[in-house]
Amino acid sequence: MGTLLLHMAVRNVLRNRRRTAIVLAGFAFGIMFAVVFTAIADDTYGRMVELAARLGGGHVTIQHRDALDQPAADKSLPRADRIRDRVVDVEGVEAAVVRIRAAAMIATARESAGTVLLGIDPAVETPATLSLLEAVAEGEVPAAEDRRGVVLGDGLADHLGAGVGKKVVVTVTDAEGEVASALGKVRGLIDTGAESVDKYTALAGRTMLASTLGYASDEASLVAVFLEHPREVDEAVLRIRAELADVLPPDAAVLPWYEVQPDLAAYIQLDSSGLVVFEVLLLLLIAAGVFNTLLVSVMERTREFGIMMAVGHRPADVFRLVVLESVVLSVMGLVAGALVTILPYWYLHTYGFDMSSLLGVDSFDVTGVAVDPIMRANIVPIKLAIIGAIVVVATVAAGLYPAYRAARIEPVEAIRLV
Amino acid sequence: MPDDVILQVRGATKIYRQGEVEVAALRGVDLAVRRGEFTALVGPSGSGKTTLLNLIGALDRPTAGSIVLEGRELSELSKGERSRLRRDRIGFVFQAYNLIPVLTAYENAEMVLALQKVPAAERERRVQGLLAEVGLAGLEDRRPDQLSGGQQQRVAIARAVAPNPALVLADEPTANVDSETAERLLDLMERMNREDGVTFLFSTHDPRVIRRARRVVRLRDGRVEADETAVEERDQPVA
Repeated sequence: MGTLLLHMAVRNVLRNRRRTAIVLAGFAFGIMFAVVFTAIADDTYGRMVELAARLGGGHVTIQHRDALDQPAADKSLPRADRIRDRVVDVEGVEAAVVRIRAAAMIATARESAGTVLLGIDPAVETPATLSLLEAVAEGEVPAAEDRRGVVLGDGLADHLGAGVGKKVVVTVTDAEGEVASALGKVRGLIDTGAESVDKYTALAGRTMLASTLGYASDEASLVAVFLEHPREVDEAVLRIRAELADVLPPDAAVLPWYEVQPDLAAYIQLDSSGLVVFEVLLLLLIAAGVFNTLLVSVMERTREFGIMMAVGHRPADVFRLVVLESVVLSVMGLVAGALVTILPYWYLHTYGFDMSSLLGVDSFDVTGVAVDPIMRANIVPIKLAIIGAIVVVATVAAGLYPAYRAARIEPVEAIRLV
Repeated sequence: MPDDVILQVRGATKIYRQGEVEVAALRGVDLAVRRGEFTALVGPSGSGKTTLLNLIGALDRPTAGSIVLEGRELSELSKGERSRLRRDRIGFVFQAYNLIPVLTAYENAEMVLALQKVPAAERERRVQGLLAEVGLAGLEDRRPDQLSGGQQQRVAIARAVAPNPALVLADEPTANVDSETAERLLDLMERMNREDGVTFLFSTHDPRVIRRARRVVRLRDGRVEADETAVEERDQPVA
């Protein structure tokens, strides 16, 4: 009987082809918009998180537990190099680097400016761990043995009037709370395209900054950890905490990127909430179309349901038939949605869509993270499954009332209708 | 009730209420039908023929009186039991054929057997045999809109008799077909009655059906006005 009901459901759905085509068009474009917008958002968020990670703290940051709220030189991480050596062996970790981060005043004879000075080990850093390295527009990153070289964001350099080769004075508050200064020489300039980054960023060798701050040789501000799969950050944090328990100082914290970059996390949360509202509205429109179609279809077939019950079908069989019709509609809708979505998704995934002419700018930043104006589609697979599941559930839910109405039909009244 | 009486109607009354107004469609009908009968319920419109068929077919409940089919009092059955009774023991043939439009002739005839969970091989044997018997061999895959009115009514007859019901109720089965087709349909049902022992109870105005019926029960204003075999019926202790 189940097979016969399924045959009936499929044929009933195809019975009024124009009406079904309209509903399927609603499905197709609703699914396409939901998938494409989700995919663009996923790709944008993913790239923002990746860029933010490569701007300083990694996907996971190991640092002093108070460094986030009270960033100061004394909130340092001892045994940083040992921690780095251990963390790279943790499953899912791709790379880890030791860094010193310090609030600094950089001055020239003409001007001074506050900045965040990042002390790196040029020998181990690559653009994969520090995106600033691929934004060096002029000059070069100081070599490992260079104890004076600094690299400035071009906005900062403009403000200071300090080009490549110029001398600057770097002033910090050291680990003892004393003011300490060092003479530096500008070796290069950085242009990331994000104004807030270029105006406040400076790089120096870790050795130079450590000696200025009075750090021990293995002392640093943080270990930036980079993951093979950044979306699995929570699992990675748990693994790192467990596997490094013997080497982590008691006041060290292992933090996911979203705790280190709360502004970025809040932006993504807010933006994705808006997307969810949009997608819910789309799904409601689809469900309303299905509800209307099935209800009209049920009312048109009152006599037919009466006949079915007269010859022995139970009301539950009729209920199942209409629910099956909604399932068939949802499956056909998913297929239609996939067919309509493939081409725009492929294009946006492969080539992207350049928004710069629409926005009137070549680049822009969100909470200090440069955003690529070329939109690309790259959906998280589980979200594709969720969209599909929600479409099916919403469609079947929309079919429940029409199915209930059909099952309530009294055969003796229905078969009187002509 | 003697073994060969499959249907016993006693004092069946049906009153419809339309607001404050009460309309009596049946007023105490008594009727007994024996296995193998070929009986016509005859009467003008509004005489209560269809109402009586609906009560006998467990589609509706009487306001008063009792209807016993194969020893089961219909008014005591639950909704589910009534569905099963209609599925297993009663066949319906309607004036307007009432086939399921999305199913083929074969599937329409097979539908009740599928509901009964008859094995597929047995279903195929019975349905193919029946469709051949009603003259529709070769047309199994046609849908109702690809069949003539007479062919559709043959499918409806095949559907009605496929599960070997105790009783086939046919409501004006020849009303929507031309004379020649009506004669063929009657030939078919008469042959099924004679050769296979199928019990038919028709409601009709059609003189062709009345002429062929071996028993004619005339209804007027919701009462049995005449029963051509009433004398025979009284001679036999059916009640």
